[in-house]
Amino acid sequence: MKKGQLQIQETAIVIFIVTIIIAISLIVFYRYTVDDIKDDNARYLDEKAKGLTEIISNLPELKVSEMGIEADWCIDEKKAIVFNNGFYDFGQKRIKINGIILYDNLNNLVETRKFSSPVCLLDPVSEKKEMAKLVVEW
Amino acid sequence: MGKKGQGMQFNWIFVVIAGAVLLSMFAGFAVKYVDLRESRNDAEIGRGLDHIFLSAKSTAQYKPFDIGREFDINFLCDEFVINKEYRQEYDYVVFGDDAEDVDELIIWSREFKHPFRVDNIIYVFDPRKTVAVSENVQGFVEGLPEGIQVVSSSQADIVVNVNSLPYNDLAFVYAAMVSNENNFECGVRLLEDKFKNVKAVYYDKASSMPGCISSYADVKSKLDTLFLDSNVEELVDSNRALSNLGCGVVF
Amino acid sequence: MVKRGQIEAIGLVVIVVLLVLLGLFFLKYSGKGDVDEDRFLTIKANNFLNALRQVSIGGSSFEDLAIECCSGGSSCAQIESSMVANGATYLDEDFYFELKCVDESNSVVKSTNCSSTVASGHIVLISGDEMFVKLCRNF
Repeated sequence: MKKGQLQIQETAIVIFIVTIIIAISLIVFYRYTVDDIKDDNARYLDEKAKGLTEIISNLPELKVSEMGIEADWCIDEKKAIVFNNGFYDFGQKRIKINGIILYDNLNNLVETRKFSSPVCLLDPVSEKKEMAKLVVEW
Repeated sequence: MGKKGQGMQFNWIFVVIAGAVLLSMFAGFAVKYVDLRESRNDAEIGRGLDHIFLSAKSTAQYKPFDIGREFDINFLCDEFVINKEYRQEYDYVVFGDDAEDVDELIIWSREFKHPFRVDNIIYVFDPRKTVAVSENVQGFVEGLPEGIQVVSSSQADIVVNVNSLPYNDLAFVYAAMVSNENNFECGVRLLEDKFKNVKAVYYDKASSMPGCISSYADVKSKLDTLFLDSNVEELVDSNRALSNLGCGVVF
Repeated sequence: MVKRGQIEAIGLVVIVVLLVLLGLFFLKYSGKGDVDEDRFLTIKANNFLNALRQVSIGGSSFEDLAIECCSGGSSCAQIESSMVANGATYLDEDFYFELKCVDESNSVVKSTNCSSTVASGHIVLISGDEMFVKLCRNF
């Protein structure tokens, strides 16, 4: 009888341990996948923030337009100065070009990331174009 | 002898219970994992579309969206929903209609000017549908991208009633063609707001430009009375006059 | 005897399961990040060229002076200093720049020491001369 009981116990312990190991592995794998998805999401948000430089420099409220002809990657300085009027919501970011703040909704975030892109800035009075830095901070 | 038999019985019961526990654990995991994968796929579709919309905003273009698997899409006022689960918000002007089990969409963008560029409007269309317009509209067929079938009114899935549109512009004909009623109204409202904003920027710019005071004042007063159904020729002439006087144009 | 075989079989299953999971971990960790960074660096390089060609120097644009330089004019030093100054101020990365003239006589080159560059698209000017920029990847 004892021999039989021992056998049952051995089998039970083995199956129990295997089940626990498999369960832990599955849980870890699942959590890992969830974390991977969160990383993916963070990367996507980063990409969106960086892609803002392209969007911003193509907005009709900023892009140089003279007699209906637009200049690529060139921002009108006069438009930039009046741009920050609350129409757009880019989320928690700060966007500026040289010293001009186009959008500021950073809300005192302590750790921020930055991406910048060169653009040209036109002074429509003198019609001179100089290089400028379009910076997105998030 | 009896006890040996009982031992055998216990062994079987134990194995069955252990097996059931293992099976239910695997089944539970499999269900959760499949849900997770589907959510991920929905997000990929949603983000892919968002990415295309944003790049279409920068340059007028045409792009077929074909990901090789079927999905549902619903267009609401300021978001679209993939497979009734994944919601992607947007704050740009895009016109589209609900579609079920679609594996390909035609996406194109077109500049909307009045007279300055207001936006690049994005249109999303299910190529399985056919279209017609209630009366001849100049440039309608030429302005459509490849893959959209234009047929007679009696055969079309969608017939655009040109006389019911709020503004007389091809942009709104296309908008009515691709969108449902709710999305159309929202899109038009957003475009109107966008127009007001761009107009305000040009008005403020005109206010800050030095010299040619009366010419800039003329442009400002015409901007003030400019609406989406206004004639733009006088404003364009006033703007051109600035260039003739050697002053910086407003737009 | 049967028992020992059972235990060995179960042990084998556990090892296989663990190996498969480990393998999956390694697969997922094998680098994805670099591709995204290169894409944005390429966009930045293109933007720099697009902006640079429009920059005003004196009463002319950089592009006009570049064309003049290529046709044997005296503006090569001017465009070189403008390109270096603008690059240093408005790019965060070290960069390589070349103005490649059609007849290859008056090219302007700014070289770089970095070993890993991302190519920009190049711009072809109306005269047929070409400009291109390569940014260095920051590690």
